[in-house]
Amino acid sequence: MTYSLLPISASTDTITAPDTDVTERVEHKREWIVIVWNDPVNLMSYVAYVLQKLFGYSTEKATELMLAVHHEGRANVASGNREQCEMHVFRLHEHGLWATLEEAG
Amino acid sequence: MAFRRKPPVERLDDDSWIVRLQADEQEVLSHIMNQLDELVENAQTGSESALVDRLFPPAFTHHDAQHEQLNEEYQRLMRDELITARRTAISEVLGTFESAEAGNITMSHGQLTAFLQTLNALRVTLASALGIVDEDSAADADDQSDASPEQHLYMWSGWMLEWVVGALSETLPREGGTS
Repeated sequence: MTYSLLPISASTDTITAPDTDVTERVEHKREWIVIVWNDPVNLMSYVAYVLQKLFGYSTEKATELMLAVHHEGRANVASGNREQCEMHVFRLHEHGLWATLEEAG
Repeated sequence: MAFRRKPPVERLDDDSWIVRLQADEQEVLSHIMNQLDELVENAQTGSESALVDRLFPPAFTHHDAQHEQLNEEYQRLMRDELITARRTAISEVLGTFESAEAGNITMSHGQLTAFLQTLNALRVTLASALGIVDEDSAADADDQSDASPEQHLYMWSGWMLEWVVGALSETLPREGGTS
């Protein structure tokens, strides 16, 4: 058998530039959520293990989230500001899971 | 395939496990992991194959200008890091194969984790090659009659992955740190 993956100036007093510090502070305070989506490939045990490992969840909590992914198509697995959630998504991608982030609410 | 007397993954002590592969399994895995490395390396130069698309999913999926911009930024900052992490894991696994004796591969926790991530990446890539896109096509791939070599490898990688997950799960705190 052979195996192969390959193929096969507005200087007025009324107009001011945006206050980037304020913008950044508002952005920092916004709540984002991390979503893991169902896919037909990743094993259920593997998804539960990754959730335990990355987020420190108990076996019961990780299993509950994994089952939500499996039965409902998605589960919110973490939340935080955007930077924190992007890092969570990166680590989930590193483990081959289909994860995204979006603003809460 | 010969009858196995011992489990394919077994803990030896606090930071070592033995992974038992038969000679043909190790040879096929080495070959296919080198191919996976090539596909991932090509993703770095922008000449990637659709086979590895699932290894680099978008982080923002709303179809609006904000999410598109955020996704571009995410890909710009994270994609190379993801490629490097993936290739480092593959290299680590191949290194353990080269130093192994007769299919008995001793791995540290880090190496076993690299094996886990690489096996899963391989499985995800094989799924793309086999056209597995939903539960129905996944069930078709589990049909062992008239299976292609890639289909056999897909099923074998799932079986081995279960063993590795079981072994690594024993190292996790039982109660977890977050409710």
